[in-house]
Order: sequence, then C-alpha cells, then structure tokens
Amino acid sequence: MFEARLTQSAIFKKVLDAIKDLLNEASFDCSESGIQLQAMDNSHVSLVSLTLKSDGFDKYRCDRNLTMGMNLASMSKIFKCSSNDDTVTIKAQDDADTVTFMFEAKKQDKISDYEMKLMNLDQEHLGIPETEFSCVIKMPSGEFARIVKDLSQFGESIVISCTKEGVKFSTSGDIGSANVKIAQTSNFDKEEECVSIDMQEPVTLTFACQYLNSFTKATPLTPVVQLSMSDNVPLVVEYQIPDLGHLRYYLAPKIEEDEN
Amino acid sequence: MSTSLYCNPLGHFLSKTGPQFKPETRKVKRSLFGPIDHVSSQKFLEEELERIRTTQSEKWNFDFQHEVPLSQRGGFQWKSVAPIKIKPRKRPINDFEGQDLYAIPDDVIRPTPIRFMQEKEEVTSSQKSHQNSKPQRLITDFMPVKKRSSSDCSKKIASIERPSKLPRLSELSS
Repeated sequence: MFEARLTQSAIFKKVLDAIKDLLNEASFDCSESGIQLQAMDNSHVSLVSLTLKSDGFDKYRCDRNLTMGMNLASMSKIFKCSSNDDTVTIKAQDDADTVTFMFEAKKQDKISDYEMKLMNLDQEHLGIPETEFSCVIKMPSGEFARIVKDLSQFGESIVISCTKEGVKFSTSGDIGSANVKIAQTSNFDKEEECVSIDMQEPVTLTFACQYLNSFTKATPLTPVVQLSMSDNVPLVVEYQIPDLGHLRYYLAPKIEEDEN
Repeated sequence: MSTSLYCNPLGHFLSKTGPQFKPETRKVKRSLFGPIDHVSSQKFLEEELERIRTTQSEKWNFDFQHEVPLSQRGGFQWKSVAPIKIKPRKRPINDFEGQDLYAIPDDVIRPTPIRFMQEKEEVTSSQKSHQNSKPQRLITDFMPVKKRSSSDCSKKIASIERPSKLPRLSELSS
C-alpha cells in the first residue's frame, strides 16, 4: 500500500509542468524515504532528477518499494482538474496496475477521484557521479529564465562563462551576437534577489538553448536557481522545492569542434 | 409362342447382366509393343540428347553443358548476362516442369535509383550545421548506465502477474 498526501496540489502541478516538456513518461520510484524520479529526455542529452522527501508530505506511507510508470501528459491532465489549494492524495496498491489521485476541496465537501493506468516502463538508470564543481552560481530563477529566453532568440546555443568578475551568458547567430553579464551582488539583504558565485576555477561551457529553456519551466517552484559547472562535465541546474525536496536538471555540454 | 420364347431368354439375360459381364470388362493389355528394355531406351535417349547437344553446339559455337563458348573464332560473341551465382540454389525435390519459366524473386534484377541530387543536398546541409554549432554531447557520455536497483522487486512482481511481459534476458543472466 502506498499513500502520499499533500495539502497543496499546486506543488505537484508545478513539478509536472517543469518536467513534462522534457519527458513523455517517467517512473516514480516510491520508497520509505520518499518519491524519486530519474529520466533522460528522448535525445539523451539531458537528465531530470526529482526528489520528494517523505517528511515533506502531510501523510506518507509506503509499505513496499514501488515503481510507478506514468504518462506525464495524462498525469498533467488529471492535475489540471484540481484547484491549487486542493489537498491531493496519491494512492496505489502494492500489486496494482493503476494509481489513484484524490482531490479534496478545502472550502466545500467535494472529493474527486481519478484513477490512472500505470505503464511498465523500461528506463535506463544513470549513476550520477559525485562531482566537485569549479563554479557554483546562485541567482534569481526568474532572472535566469529571462536571460535564457532572451538569448535563445539569437542563437541555438549559449556560452556560459564564469569568472571572478561574474557570469557571462553569450550567444551568436544570423542576426548578430548577444551578451548578458551579471556580477556578484554585494548586499545580502534579500537572499532571493542576490547573485552569489562560488568559484574555484574559471569555466566556460556551451549548452543548447532548447534544453535550458525547458529547464526554466521549473521557475515557478522557487525564487532561486543554482547552476553548477565544471570543465567537461554536465551542467547542473537545481531548483529547491521548499520543504519537499529538489528538482535537478543535468545537461551535457556541446564540445569544441577542434577536438575531433 | 415365338415371341414368348424370344422374351424369356432376354429377361433371363438381363437379370443376370451384373455377374455375367464382369469377366468381359477385363483390363486392356497395356504392353502394345512387347516388354520394355529400359537399358536400351535409356541408351537411345542419351544418344539422342548427345546428338542434339553436339549439333546445337556446332551451330551456336557454344558448349551448353558448361556454358562457355567453344572457340574464340566462332561467328557468335557470347556474353554472360545474369550475375554469376557463387552458391547454386537448392531446389525442392518435387520440382515441377517448367519452373524455369517463372522468375524466382531473387533472380529479378531491378533497377536501383541513384539519388545523387539528394546526397548533394545532405552534404551541404551537414556542412552548414557544422559551421554554425558545436556537436552536442550526450548525458550518457558522462554518466554510467546502471540497473534500476530499487525497482527490481516491483518489476519481478509485475512479471509474475503479467506473463506476456517477461523479464529481459540480461536480467535473468545476472
């Protein structure tokens, strides 16, 4: 028997919106410690890793480890049927091939049940190596989304270079080139608005705009985003889900042509 | 009197047709020309075939048995048309006559279209893309593919319930 209850279905809605761009379906691994999801996008360029801790739920029960393969578009459809302040309960029997989403409205006596068929997905699981990153940048998530959106108009890929002075996002295309530089902020009054750079070594890497744009769909989850970079290692874009866990995106860099 | 006398034997005759006619419908002798000498007829056939072969070979200046021209100075110039088969096709035993008249699908030589125009386009487009962007690496280049350890138990349960979806060979072997 698996049961997880969350007073705000809005969080789940936001998580779904953040991953359904990249993934069509995904396996939710449920265990005593919480719900985990790890999946690559179709082109195997990026990886989505979601962790929802059991402590963050209002009620959590998982008698036996359970993997639920779900179609994210269908799941998103179901969650669209709920209001943001509805309480959601996810239920599944140990041996069932369906999952039930129950929404309870706060103000009125209204309970909606949605049962969804599970899928038997055979997805590859990747071992994410522990990496000491050369650069860790914390910045407002809205700012990051804005930069990526703006620059993707000019070119297919964005070069992110991190130095002591700050972070530079640049691109070039048919129209011309574009550069956005942001420096580390000195006042720490508002943590949500500050830019902090923890740098061991300067790093410059190139990434495809398309994926970065998909990552920024997670912006509504949290006001701060963390970018971790090292030379010749995938970029990590991390969004903390308050009290519940985190959503991490890994993106393989584009390599210099000279190497081949 | 006479009629009655005539009628009676006829009626008697007709009533006994069944058993009486049987010995008269004995099989006709098939051997019209005496016993067959198989050896001599075979010899005759071979001689006849050999005669046809040699006369035709002389006529066309071609050894039909070995499929080669007899001499270079002949009036005909022979060229092989079909591709040379390395392995002769094994035919079924109950080979029916005239099978050679029908084309075997593999023997049909179809013209192959050459799309040189498209190839040209592809080359130019790939050159363009190479000029504009760097090649994209895959996430699997950096992270090793592992087995889903946490889901193994649940997968086994699923496979028991639904026999149509059997566990993979790789899972079974390890």
